[in-house]
Amino acid sequence: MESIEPTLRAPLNGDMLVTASLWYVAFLFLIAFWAERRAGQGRAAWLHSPYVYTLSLSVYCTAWTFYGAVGTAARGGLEFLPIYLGPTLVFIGWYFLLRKLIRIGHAQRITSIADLISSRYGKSRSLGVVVTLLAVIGSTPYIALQLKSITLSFSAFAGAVPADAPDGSGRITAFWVAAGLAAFTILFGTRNIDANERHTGVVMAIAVEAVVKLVALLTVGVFVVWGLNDGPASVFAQMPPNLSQIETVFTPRWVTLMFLAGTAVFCLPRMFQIAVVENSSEHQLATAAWAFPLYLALISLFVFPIAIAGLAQFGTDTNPDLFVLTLPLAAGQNGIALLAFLGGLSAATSMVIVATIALSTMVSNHIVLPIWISYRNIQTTGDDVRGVLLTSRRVSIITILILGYLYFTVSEPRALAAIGLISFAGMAQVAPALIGGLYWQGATRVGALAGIGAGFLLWAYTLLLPSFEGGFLLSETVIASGPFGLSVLRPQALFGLEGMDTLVHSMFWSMSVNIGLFVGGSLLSSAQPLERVQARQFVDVFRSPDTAAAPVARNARTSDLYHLASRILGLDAANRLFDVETRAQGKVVGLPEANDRLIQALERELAGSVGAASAHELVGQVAGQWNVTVAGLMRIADETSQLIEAKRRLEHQSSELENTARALRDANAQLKHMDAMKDAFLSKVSHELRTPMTSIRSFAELLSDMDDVSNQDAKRFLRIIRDESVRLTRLLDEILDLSFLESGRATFNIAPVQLAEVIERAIASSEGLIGTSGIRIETVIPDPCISVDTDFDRLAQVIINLISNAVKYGRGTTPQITITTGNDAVGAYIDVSDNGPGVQPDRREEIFEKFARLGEKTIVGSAGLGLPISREIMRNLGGSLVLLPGGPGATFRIGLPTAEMAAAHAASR
Amino acid sequence: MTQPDTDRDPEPQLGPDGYALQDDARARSIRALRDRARCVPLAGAFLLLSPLLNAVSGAGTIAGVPVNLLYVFGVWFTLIFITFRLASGLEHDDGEH
Repeated sequence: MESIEPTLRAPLNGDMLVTASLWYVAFLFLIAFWAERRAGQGRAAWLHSPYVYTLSLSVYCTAWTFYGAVGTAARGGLEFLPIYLGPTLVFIGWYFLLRKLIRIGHAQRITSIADLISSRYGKSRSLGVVVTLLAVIGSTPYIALQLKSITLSFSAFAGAVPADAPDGSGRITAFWVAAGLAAFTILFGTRNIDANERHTGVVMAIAVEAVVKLVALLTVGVFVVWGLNDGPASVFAQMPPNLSQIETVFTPRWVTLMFLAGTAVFCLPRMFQIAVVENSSEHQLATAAWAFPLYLALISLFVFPIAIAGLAQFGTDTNPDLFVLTLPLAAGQNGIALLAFLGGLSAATSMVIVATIALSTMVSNHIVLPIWISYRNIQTTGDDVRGVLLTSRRVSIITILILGYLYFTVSEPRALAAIGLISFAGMAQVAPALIGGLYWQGATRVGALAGIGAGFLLWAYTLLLPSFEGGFLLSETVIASGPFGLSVLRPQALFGLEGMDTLVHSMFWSMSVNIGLFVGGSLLSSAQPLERVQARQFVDVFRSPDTAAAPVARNARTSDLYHLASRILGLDAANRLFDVETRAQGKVVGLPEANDRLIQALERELAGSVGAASAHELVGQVAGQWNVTVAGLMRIADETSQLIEAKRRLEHQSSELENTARALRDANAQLKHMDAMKDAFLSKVSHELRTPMTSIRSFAELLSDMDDVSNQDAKRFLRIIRDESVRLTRLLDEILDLSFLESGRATFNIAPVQLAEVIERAIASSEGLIGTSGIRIETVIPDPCISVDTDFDRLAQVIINLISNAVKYGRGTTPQITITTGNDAVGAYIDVSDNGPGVQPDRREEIFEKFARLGEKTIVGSAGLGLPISREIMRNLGGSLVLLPGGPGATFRIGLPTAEMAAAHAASR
Repeated sequence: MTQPDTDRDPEPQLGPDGYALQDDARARSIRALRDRARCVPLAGAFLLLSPLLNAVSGAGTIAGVPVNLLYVFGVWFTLIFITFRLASGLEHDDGEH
């Protein structure tokens, strides 16, 4: 607290304030002058530091912030916050929007927000004019606000701290402030026509002012919290109930304020000027992305405590907008008060300076120069074009300040915040066309013009004009009861929408209509060729190189182009440009050829000075109008679509490759499995074949080796050899049969077959088996007429196999086999069941595998291929063979296909 | 480290082993950074532009300071800090959105 002890004890009077102000302004002049000199000597690397950029961005915090934020906090609690939170969100989201905006700004040599909109929509002159008018009209109240805050701060020192009654003296103060600002701006803002519209001196002065603002506000804050009170807790203890008991912070007004502030930070002419035009590299943005929100947070940190302390000390009688000044004054802290005064002066002057530079550039590039061009031809006139430009900018600066001064004298006394918000709402009308133009190629000039135009009119009708409270254009009766007594058209309750906050009401109508017309107009109109070229360069700025091929052929004489360049850019800059182009064309000396590249480069260079639309117009006068060829346009469209197509194809191919790889992997796994199965099969087959072969060989050896073999023995041995040969043959037959069936080469003789007949034949054929075992076979055939299309012999074979299987395994106490026929949902079936022990559940599928019974004792010399063969036969016939679940014995079901299914199956084979 | 040229075969351009891997890892980390940078404003919008604000309003005071004020400034400084951490990594990123 010692550090902020007053240095000035004597009461401040007006003269001292004026002296202090003059010294301060002289100091700023010096800074600006020095920075420009350093830049001129090429020793200004640190002037492009991201921190200077960040500080210069703080031109966002005007006198409205410095004085008005406290006022807003005193009136509405947390409501002052969205004004700083909106820009915070935009800046921490720099990667979305600002990065693209700045990239485009550099690529297209954008000079102002009007230039950006005009350039995006086909270098449209009309859009340039509309946005410029909107900006001038929207900024005028804001400039008036700064003048007002300065006069207010003077009056606060005058002693009586009256709310605000700008008598004659207030107006005189405001007039001289405006005049001084005009002088500074003209001196540093329009010294020359810079190729990039950058103003090093001004930016440096603004950065210094930013530091003064922050230090002043923090000092006052620290003084109020720890000097006048005992820390934050004691400040907040004095909080009046109307501020502490606000429980609905999140309201339509909160959202509207957030939106307005978020758009303002890149749409307001001065913010666009600093953030985009004065930006010298994208790297500055990466730092500003966090540093600028930090600046805003620090600026806002003490706003609420100051407001509370002010209310506690002065009540609501005094103007809360001036608490920053009146608190230290009342405590006799003249030093702090003076610092606060200079902070406020900084806030106000920096805004006015940058805003007037931005506006004057817009007015001269989009209104004055187009008019001049339409009356004069650049090739024939002897006028000094640069002189015209500079003069028009200087006149614009003075005019804009006069407008601001007039608004200041006309407008009713209002809170600072209300005036600022009118400005924000006006420039927010540009936001839809701007953002749409950056991300939507289909946005057209017609849509943008309709949207901005309608939004502008609605904003003026519902917000700007009523703010004069009958003083200008709209009378008080019209505001109260609508034009011609039509209450539907009341400016502040349009179409009967009553009871809303006037700001929210105005934003609702103007933004809805704006966005609606912008989108609708874009959808219903088609873009001109130049618009399409520009749209592509804007939307795809990160994709396409900034030197996109010009789809036009233009002709000009190099000397004419040089003449044009030197008239606008000046001799030095023109020489530099043409030297670069000469070297690019591979020449050593002389002028470059006037090819498309040169013409384009020149147009871009000119755009950096006079805006895209005027540059286009000027080059058009020399090189002929921009006549797009259909082939050229096709080429543009082609490049994009080819890229997209190539990408799509690559993606398709890669997914195809992936599928193929997966299929190959699957196939490989299947092959491996089959290979293993084949190995197992072979080893089983060899084993099966070896058994009979071994016995044949051993008996044959016995016969040949033994000399005294009896006739009877010889006969026995020969019978065994014969039996084993038969078994071997049968085994080989079965294997062959199975391999035929599996490969699908077996032929079938399909004909209508009576099931009863097949069963009868099968039982007859099995009699040999049955006879020896004494098994009884019972048939249950409810419908003897069931008939299916199938192969008679093969089906009989399947039934015989099943019967023999049952004979072999179905050894019940009184062995019995039951054969049943029937129909189910799928078709006819034949069940063959026995009353044996059945099949273990875990072996149900195994029994259909080849040589499943390997190693088991078999009664008849079967190799265990009966069931696999039967299943293969049924598969080939389009039917099925399954083991039905449940007991007691085993029941095999032969599913028989209906005629249609058999036909379908035959067709598929 | 040079960015591999996609038009040509990248093999000859890669000097010592591991360059391709490093580039890959760098591209992946840049992508992750971009995703995070995109999420920060969305999270910010949710925290500062939603009825959450009403939830913390009227919740009394901490050390004499209203909770909603602490909440807003807390979120604010947190967002700034996260952006600070992310921004340096993306400063030289020239890629597509």
